[in-house]
Amino acid sequence: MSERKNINKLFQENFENFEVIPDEIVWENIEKKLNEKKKRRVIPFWWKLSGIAAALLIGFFVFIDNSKPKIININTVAKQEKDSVKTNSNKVTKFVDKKQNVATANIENETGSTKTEVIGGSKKTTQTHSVLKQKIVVETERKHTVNSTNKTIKNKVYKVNATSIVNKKSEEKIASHATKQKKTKNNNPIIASENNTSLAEKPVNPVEKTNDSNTISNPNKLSNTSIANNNSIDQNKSVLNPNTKTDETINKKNDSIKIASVEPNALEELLKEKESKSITEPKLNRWQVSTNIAPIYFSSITNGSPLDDKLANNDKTYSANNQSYGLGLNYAITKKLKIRTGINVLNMDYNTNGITYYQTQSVTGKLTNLNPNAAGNLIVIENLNNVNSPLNKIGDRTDGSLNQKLGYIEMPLELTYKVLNKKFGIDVIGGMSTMVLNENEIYLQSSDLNLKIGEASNLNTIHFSGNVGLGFKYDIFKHLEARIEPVFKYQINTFSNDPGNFKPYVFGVYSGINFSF
Amino acid sequence: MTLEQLINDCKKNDSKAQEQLYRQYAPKMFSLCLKYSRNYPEAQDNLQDIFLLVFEKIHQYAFKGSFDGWLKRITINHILQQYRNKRLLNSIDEDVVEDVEVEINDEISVEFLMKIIQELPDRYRLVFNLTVFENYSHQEIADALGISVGTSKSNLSRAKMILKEKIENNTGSSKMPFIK
Repeated sequence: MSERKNINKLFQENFENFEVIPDEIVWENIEKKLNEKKKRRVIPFWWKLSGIAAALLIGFFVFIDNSKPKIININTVAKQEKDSVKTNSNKVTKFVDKKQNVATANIENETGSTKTEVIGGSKKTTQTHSVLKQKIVVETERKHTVNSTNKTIKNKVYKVNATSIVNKKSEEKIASHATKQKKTKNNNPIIASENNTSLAEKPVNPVEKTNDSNTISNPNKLSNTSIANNNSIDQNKSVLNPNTKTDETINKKNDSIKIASVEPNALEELLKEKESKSITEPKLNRWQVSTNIAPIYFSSITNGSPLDDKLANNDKTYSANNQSYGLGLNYAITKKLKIRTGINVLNMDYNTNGITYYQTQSVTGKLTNLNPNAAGNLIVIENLNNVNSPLNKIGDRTDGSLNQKLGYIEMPLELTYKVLNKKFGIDVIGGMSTMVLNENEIYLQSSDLNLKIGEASNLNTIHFSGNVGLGFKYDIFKHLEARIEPVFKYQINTFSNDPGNFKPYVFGVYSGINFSF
Repeated sequence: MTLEQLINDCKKNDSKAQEQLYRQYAPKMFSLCLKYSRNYPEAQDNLQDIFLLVFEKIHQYAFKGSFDGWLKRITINHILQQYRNKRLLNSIDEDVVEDVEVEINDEISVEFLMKIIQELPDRYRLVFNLTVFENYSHQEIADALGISVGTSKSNLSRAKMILKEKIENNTGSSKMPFIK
């Protein structure tokens, strides 16, 4: 039979809703190039350390991604459809107008799940075309080269227009489903997975299938089996690579299909496991606020005095009441690496013992770095060791100590790196702090006196510290963790001049809670 | 996730969104690429370049007009660009046959039609696709390809004659064997 048709119409009708799923390699290439671009953009802004971490992380993801199984979507006919199929007449007719016929089939079998999928064949697959007319049909004729290499087995996914027309509606579902699935570079080129729960699953392993000969079934035999329809398209290497289309398989007698239906189940489980894992994977809460309070051990590495050289060897008592408290803000750059800042109040004082003092109108030999107030101006302070001669110990001298108070507003900038991240975790901490002086007082103390005599003249209003420490945390709730962090802060540039060989440090055991959001 | 959300995520360079967008639109765009390319590998290359272009330019998409239309424009512009760069030779205007009817004796597969489109000379293929599938006027094609309207018409006519001949002779066709 022949008919005349306008050529425009012929092409327009045939290509309407024609879609072809490209090889997976196309997306892989795109992804690779996108990642390259991202890397180039991001790195210059990152800190050296986090840059390295990010590179590792990206490398890690790329690795993970590549090792995921390659999957192709298969939509099979629902088992329920069997019944409706059985009731249909069993004619297998020649397919004249694909679109129309398929459309009718779809209407009649209201299940509408006739969607095909796609399956890979080998490049040498020869062609077969199958047709559905109202019922089913099948065809097949397949010659496969069995020993094609993995490369040649590369799967092509191919949707033929007929099917795509039928399932216009389901297309979207399928597209979104496909995105959920992950690919693999499995040698076994295809893992079929099913989507809708209402649809029967019939994964097909194309490699196995290549070994089998064709199945041509009379739909009458369908009764207990699911329906299958293998379709390979070929011939046009240049047009559409190796494409095999599978609708369903009719014949249970077919060994290879039995095998296929068993094998992919394990893989499917694996896939499901993977999917569920990725769903349950906790989201990284990047921001955290923290509180902290710490007893501070303030001391000097060397035995000096910032007040005056002559007090360098005097005994110093560091107060047990030194403390720090404040708030912090943490940002997780990666799962392991955090940067944090905050604001802390730091109060410290210490006593220089072994001094003696007396009051006089004409003070000579003040302490070098004391900036005396009115009271201080009238007091002479000397090192007790220097006045050991009884002659010099005049009656109005009193033994006592000098108490120097220091107060700072501290703004830390630190990186923490998780070395252990379970319910209980350990961090390594490193960074620096900016210290702004907000308290500077010197008191003269004795058994019956506590007199402010001035302030130190050699304290910088801003100085820095280098910080190292360890952090231990314990998750109390999902968003709440308790922390304790011994941190050593070596003070740099505390004194503007003449620090009297005094090299202070601060050791604090910071404890507090972190709240993440 | 709505399309709008998906596009916004792509604008933020979100990898998952990019993949989802690709999965959703690749089949449609690949069939377009296949029609405009000489063969399957060339179509794949085009598809890859076009998606990279899409992700690069997606921030320019302002939700005016359909996203499908925007994608199609990018695709066709990209393909035209390639051929513009190749400077197709102008052919001499010939007799123009407007309506070509073709005798169909047997089942014709879409794969066969795809193949014979791809086998057309480059400009014939472009002109044919643009007129038949995208409804371009000859003036628009002439402007886009830098050729005369007459050349566009004669290219189209030649393309149709070649296609007609191949369909009627089923040259190199992949006539599908059917089982009765």
